Amino acid sequence: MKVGMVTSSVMIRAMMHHTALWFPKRCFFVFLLLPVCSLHAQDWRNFKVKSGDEIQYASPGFADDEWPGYRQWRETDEGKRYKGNLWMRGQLTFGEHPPGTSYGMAILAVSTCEVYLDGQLIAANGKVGSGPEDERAGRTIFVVAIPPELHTPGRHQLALRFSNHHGNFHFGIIGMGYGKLNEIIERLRGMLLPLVLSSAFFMVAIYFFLLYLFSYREPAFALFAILSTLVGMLYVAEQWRLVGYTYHLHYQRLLMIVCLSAGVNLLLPLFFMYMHRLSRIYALFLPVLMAVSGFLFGDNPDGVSYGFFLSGLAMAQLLSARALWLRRPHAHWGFVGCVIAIATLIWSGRDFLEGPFFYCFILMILLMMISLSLQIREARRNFQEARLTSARLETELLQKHIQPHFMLNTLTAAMEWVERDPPAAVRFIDALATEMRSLFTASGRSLILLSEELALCRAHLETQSFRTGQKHDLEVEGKVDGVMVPPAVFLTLLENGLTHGSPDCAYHFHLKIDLEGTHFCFEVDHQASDDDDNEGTGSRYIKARLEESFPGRWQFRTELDGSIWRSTIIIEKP
Amino acid sequence: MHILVVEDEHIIAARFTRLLGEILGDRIAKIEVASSLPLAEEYLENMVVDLVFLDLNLRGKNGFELLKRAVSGAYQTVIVSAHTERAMEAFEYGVLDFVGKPFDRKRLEMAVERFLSGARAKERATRYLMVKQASGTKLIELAEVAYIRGAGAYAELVLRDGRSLLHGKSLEKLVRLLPDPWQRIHKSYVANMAEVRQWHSYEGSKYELELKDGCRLPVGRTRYKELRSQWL
Repeated sequence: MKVGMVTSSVMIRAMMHHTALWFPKRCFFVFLLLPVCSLHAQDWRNFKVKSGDEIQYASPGFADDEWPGYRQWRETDEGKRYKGNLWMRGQLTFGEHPPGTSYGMAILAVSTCEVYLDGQLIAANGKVGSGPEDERAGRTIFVVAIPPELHTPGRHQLALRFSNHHGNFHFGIIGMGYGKLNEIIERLRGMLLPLVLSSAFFMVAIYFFLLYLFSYREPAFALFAILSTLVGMLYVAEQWRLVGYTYHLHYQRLLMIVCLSAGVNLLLPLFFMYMHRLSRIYALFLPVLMAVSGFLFGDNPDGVSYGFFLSGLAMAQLLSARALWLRRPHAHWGFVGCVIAIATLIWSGRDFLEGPFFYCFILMILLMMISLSLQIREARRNFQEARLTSARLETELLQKHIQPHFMLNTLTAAMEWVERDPPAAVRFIDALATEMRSLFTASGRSLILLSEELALCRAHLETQSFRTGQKHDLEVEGKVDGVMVPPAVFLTLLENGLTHGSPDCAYHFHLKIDLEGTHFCFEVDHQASDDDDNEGTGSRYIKARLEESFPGRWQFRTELDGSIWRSTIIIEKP
Repeated sequence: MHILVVEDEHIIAARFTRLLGEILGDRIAKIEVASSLPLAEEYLENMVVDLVFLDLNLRGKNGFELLKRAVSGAYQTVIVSAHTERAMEAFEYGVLDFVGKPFDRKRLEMAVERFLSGARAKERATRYLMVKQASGTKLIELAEVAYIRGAGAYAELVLRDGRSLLHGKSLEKLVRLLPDPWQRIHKSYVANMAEVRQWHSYEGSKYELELKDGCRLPVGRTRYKELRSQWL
């Protein structure tokens, strides 16, 4: 009864003329994509297997009842790692077929094989031999055309003669299918389509590499380019199984997949590290982690890859979480990507490479790309702003010292000296020229030597001494050599002190420089007077210059300490 | 002559002192220098000053606020500034002269001359009068003023709406700053000739003019003829 039901359902399905392709569990995702209809109740996994090579095994009448089924045989010690000759036998049932339709089979195996139908050799994939010398390796994907005269309705005996002498990989059948010939071919061709996706990785890699070369010498960009290349290569290596190759390259392909997996998972956390400027310490953990997990899962190449991906993604997740914690810009893209990738990895298990994992990994790469692109946009914006700021600051600096009020007052003062005391006038004009000269040299740059800045300050105090009739001076305590500062920052502090204090007293400025430790520290002191206003407009200029050259790494404050006005500038050392 | 120089640049203040000393010699009773407006205002409150030289850009600040407070006083004001483009604006507030920087002895002499001669101010583009009140300085548009009456050392501004306000300057000093149509018609009156509707003469050499709004103001005998010929 049960057999009858099964047979009739088989007959119904047979009449639907669909291609049947049985795939092992690992290809379950691809399985989902294809309309599947199992035509044959007798799954090829139940076909009988016998190691060895006897031609009578092809004969339809041969008694194979004692032979183990393929599934069971694979669980034996012999079956797990078999290399050599073997035969498989099984029954196929053909249904009615319209004239002019060709039928065929697809055999996906890591082996050379010959196909016998009812004892007759109908196809050979390579040349079966008794040893590596006389075997010519076949391809992993082999399509057989069943001769129409043999394709009569009813049961037929299928016998497959295999030999696997070449290469390092043991014998295994990846899949087998039967159906209309052109449907098989179309289906096989269709499975190649995802391979096209790999070109995207290479294009992305080239783009980011060019960006790195010509625009942004950020290590993160170069790392992303290499990562993208490796992922692309991994994808190609993985998908190549659908293209087919001579079977002895199977081991090499798997080895390449493992190596590429290692590469990808070493680079992935590194990328996050560089992109979000995290501590390099984390790099030490990674190889250890990878070795451990590779070992843990490593009973077959797929397992090793799984271990690598698990550790690499876990590391990447950790790093992106840390970046998020530190509020690094655009950290959330990477974080989300990692979450999706890890979840899919764990859900897919060891067969992850053939499942949806790859597509989720692609999604993660996409999110990382978004993150990088946003970084580019921000970098460009900051650059523009910085250039504008620089130009503005330069203009501001010059304008402040060439504006009508300053200039015409200076000329009036010069006039007075000329009339009253000509030699003094010459000295005054000379001091003025020195000040102007220092100013013009300094204004076009964003950093000048501290010694140049102090020269500018002293020249200014000299001219001011002339104008006010008071003797101002600047005392410097600490090392000056080699320190670079933004132009006119200290000059502005001096000017503030002079303008907003009383004009009738001599100012003694004291600059203390402290270059030890993690910060550069500058303190400018001068005596306070009763007339003092609070803060000068010059503070804005000082802050803008500090931000231009030391973004986010500076502090500036002005405070009254008893009878001393103290301005402090602190810059973090890089 | 009592002069106040409001200038924060030491050398330039010294220049003023030296040049004014050369120009005026003995006629100067005192030249005082103030380096900030608060100091200047304090000085002006306590001392009687004839002439003030005011730098519009004290301490780099915009001096117009300074100016508005300055022109409400009894003294004449000469503006000294590097920013000549605001000169016209300064004149609208009623200053005697505007000297640009840098200045030489000759230019300063011209300003002093103007003060001494009692002649009218250089530009006479005055549009605003600043009146000192308890709450601060109030701005009055000249167009709002009907006529001005002398009140001792001060001038009473009689507005069109009937209100009266007291200006710090005497009638003589004030009229020098006013545009041409404003003339001294009487020892105690200054009126706007453009507003005159009719002239009246009565027996006994009494003369009056009638403004468009109906006000009648006395006209001095000696001034009558000249004014009438010029302004009829």
